[in-house]
Amino acid sequence: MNTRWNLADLLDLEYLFGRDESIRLHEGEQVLAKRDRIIYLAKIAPKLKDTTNPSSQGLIHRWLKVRQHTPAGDRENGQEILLPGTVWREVSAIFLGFALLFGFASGLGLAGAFLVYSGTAPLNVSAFLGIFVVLQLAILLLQALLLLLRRLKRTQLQSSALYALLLRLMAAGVDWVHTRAHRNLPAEQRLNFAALFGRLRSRRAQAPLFIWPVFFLLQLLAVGFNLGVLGLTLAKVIFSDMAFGWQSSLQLSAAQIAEGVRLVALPWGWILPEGTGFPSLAQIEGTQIILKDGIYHLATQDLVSWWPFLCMALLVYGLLPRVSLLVGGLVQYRRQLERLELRSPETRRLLQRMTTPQMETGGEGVDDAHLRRGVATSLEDSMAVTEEDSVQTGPTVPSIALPVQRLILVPEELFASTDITALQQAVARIAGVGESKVQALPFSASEEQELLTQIHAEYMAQRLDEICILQEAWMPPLEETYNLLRELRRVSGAATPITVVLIGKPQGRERLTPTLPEHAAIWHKKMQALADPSLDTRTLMEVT
Amino acid sequence: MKNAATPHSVPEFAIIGHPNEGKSSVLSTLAEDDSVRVSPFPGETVVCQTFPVRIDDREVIRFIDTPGFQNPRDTLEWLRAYNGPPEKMVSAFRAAHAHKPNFHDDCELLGPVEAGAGVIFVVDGSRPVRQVDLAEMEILRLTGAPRMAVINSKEDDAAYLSQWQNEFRKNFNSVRLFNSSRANYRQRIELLESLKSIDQRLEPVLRRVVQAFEEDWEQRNIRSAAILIDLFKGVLTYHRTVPYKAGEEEKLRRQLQERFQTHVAGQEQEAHASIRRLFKHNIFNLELPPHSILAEDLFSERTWEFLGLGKTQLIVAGALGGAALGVGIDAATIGASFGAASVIGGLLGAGATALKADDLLSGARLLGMQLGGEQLRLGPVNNIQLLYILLDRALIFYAHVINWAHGRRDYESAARHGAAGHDGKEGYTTNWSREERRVCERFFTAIRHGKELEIEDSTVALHQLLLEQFEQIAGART
Repeated sequence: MNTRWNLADLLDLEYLFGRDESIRLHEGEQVLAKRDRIIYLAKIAPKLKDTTNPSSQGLIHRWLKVRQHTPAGDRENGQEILLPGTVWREVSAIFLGFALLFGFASGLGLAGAFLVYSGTAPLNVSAFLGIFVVLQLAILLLQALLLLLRRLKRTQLQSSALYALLLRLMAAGVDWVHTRAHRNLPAEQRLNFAALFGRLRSRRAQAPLFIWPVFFLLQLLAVGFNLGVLGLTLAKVIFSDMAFGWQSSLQLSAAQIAEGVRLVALPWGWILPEGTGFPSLAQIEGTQIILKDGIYHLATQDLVSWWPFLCMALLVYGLLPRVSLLVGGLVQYRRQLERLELRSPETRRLLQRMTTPQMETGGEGVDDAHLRRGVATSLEDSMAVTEEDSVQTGPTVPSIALPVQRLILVPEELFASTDITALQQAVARIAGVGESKVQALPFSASEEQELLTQIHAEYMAQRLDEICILQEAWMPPLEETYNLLRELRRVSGAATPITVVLIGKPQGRERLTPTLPEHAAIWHKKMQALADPSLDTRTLMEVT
Repeated sequence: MKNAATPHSVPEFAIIGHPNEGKSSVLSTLAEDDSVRVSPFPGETVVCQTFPVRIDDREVIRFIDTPGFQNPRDTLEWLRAYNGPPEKMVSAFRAAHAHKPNFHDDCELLGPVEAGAGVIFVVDGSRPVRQVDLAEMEILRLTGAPRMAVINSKEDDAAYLSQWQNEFRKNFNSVRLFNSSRANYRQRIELLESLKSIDQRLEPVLRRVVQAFEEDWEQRNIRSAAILIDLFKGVLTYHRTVPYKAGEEEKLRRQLQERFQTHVAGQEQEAHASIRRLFKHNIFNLELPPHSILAEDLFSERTWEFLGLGKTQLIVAGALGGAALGVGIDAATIGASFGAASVIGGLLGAGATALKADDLLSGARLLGMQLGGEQLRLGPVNNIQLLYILLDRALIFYAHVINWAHGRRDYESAARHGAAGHDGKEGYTTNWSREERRVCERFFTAIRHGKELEIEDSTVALHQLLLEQFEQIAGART
């Protein structure tokens, strides 16, 4: 079964990842690794017994549920932290309810103001239809037209000279502002903006989801409005004496009006025939208002024959389209959520933290067995685990950490002097177990091209799950670096994780050294600016 | 070449290098311009910016800040594959890449090279040489621009120096070590001197530039000395007389004293600010750590103890200065505790001086204030110690200002660790010879007695002494 996300969960996940990032910076990756492994072993793995190959999305979803329900782990200054998802849920429920109510109230108000009959002149049917049906339909049509225009824009509008001119002017304007801003901003701010926009762009798959709530809000507003108008009309008809008639200065015959009415009533004509669902020709003739003649000659049964038609018109042309839009939107929204696959460096790291056995050397070793034994106690402190859960953590935890086929690229100038085995081990520590192949990354463009071709072939033959590329963090990334990463992405498909692995300055003969935090931060932001959701930046060695 | 077009043309040098190697910092120091944007983030410089150096409103040399190389490998491969006339190579490259946004920086930085500027290639000497660096050196070699390599040793890390020097020897006409955040005037001049060697045609024009720099420096020193002498005269001749009524003397005395303190501090600040401007510092200001002598209030106990002459020297000076000293000790009560200190010193060293302690302690005479009669008079100061203190503070200020490289931006760290140049507890004057002190005493006495001729003579001598001191300070860190 596909994991179904919802917006509240997505917000919570983003928020928790943000918190984890600050933990990582201040306390180190190891703290997170231990916590997530405990969550996995204690709360997730026991429930996976029957699942042979749990989806990564499912695992992340389960992890999120555990984190959402462990308030003890998320206390700050002794106060429980309100997750943004909860706030979102509450606020959106309030807003949706309010929209429905507001729509209903305005429907009631408008209809109340219109449906005033004192016995002197019958209410004008065409005005009622015009205000409550035609106007709504027009708005709907306008929306549909705009949608259509937006689709057409890319294809047909480009041939329009005016459009091309406008587009040029706009592009030039944006360019001008960008260049000015670019020149005048300090490098640090420029970098931060680029990283922020990169992060946003890398989440572009999620962006449309956040438009739906506004859509639902508008539909509920309209549904409420129609319900209000319909309710008040029915109430007026039932509890008071109403008379409807029609008038026109044009020399329209009653037969023409009757034909028009029949056409409008087509959708319900088959179930509510003439005389019931819509007025007959005789009834229409009997309700024509000619002001100089007064209304005394009009028969009461004719005057009341209009209301079912009006109500049905409201129902069919006002309420039904809105309800169907709402339902259709909901279906579409759910489909999008089901299709949504979270792919970001953060989710990948999380999966890896959960599925990688914990090995610590020195002092009291903490391996998986230790962790499992200690799960109950440590979780009681941090995540309020139940008795039942901890008992279930038996030795048969399904392992989902399938070894990956990893390609580690090392710049050729470092290749000869790097201890390959140590590199493989260090990469496995940060990226998980895998079958690693280490290859030199040539400096010359032609040789680099050969390597890219070879990587593409490996990818096509499904012999490549992940690429790691070693870089020295003290050399700032260049355009050439971005180019290489873009090329790697091109040859290895959109979803293959690419990780930039950072090392520090050589210390004596040692190549695999820790990086300075400020250098790592620059790389991290520069890489984020590339807006590639499957590109991650990691430091190879933690500063001890 | 543009640089050597005429002997009177303004030579132009582009500072080129890998991103984040300290190009802007080197330029800032060389051009003595602290408005150049320097940051630890790569990509601070996006477009070329020209920084002319003007001496007496005459442009003598121009430095151009450039962005760092972004595509050294591809640029080099393009240049190598180029078949056209060599003199058109750079312009052809720029034309071919003008519309590629990812080559913007490379095109931009080669602009000055195309225009004929000399190249100062800057590298960070604290890191190893990489293939991209070799590519950049080769690019510059292929352009044929007269070039010099500057190893900007940002940190005190010499591990890779020889590696850099070896590589540079293959590609550059001249190589220099230059610490952009520590370099002083002399090192700047030396760097300019070595620019001569990168192209013979540049020699005459650069010789004039160096000469202009040296003359300008001399002028700055002369003006600084004049500013300081004006300060000394202003402070040492300060006096105020106010009528007082019985019972108000204590209050009045305090007021006068405060006014004097404000006057001295204000005058001194003004003089220091003028010196700072002479040396083109707009951002750097002397912010010393709390325990440094300069951060102390001029009148606080610590300053009086540390600055000026030592206790013994003061007593000797007292003997030399004759009777003036006796009254001088009273002046010491500007900082009441120094007064005590010097009195103790006096007691220990010279009886004659010590005797005056009674006056001091009785409070009958303060700073030359006559407490009898109906007028309260403050000043002029009759303790030479104040002159020594002002001298010391001025010299320490001078040392900081001239040694603070314009490319150095760790203003906060300077405040934390204490600025460079002066690490002793004592001031400069403590180590002065008897002759040097004699100059000060002559000046002090002349000012006090107001004899025109004597004032003029002693002022000239003090001016000369200050210039010598400036020279010593500037030479101390080369």
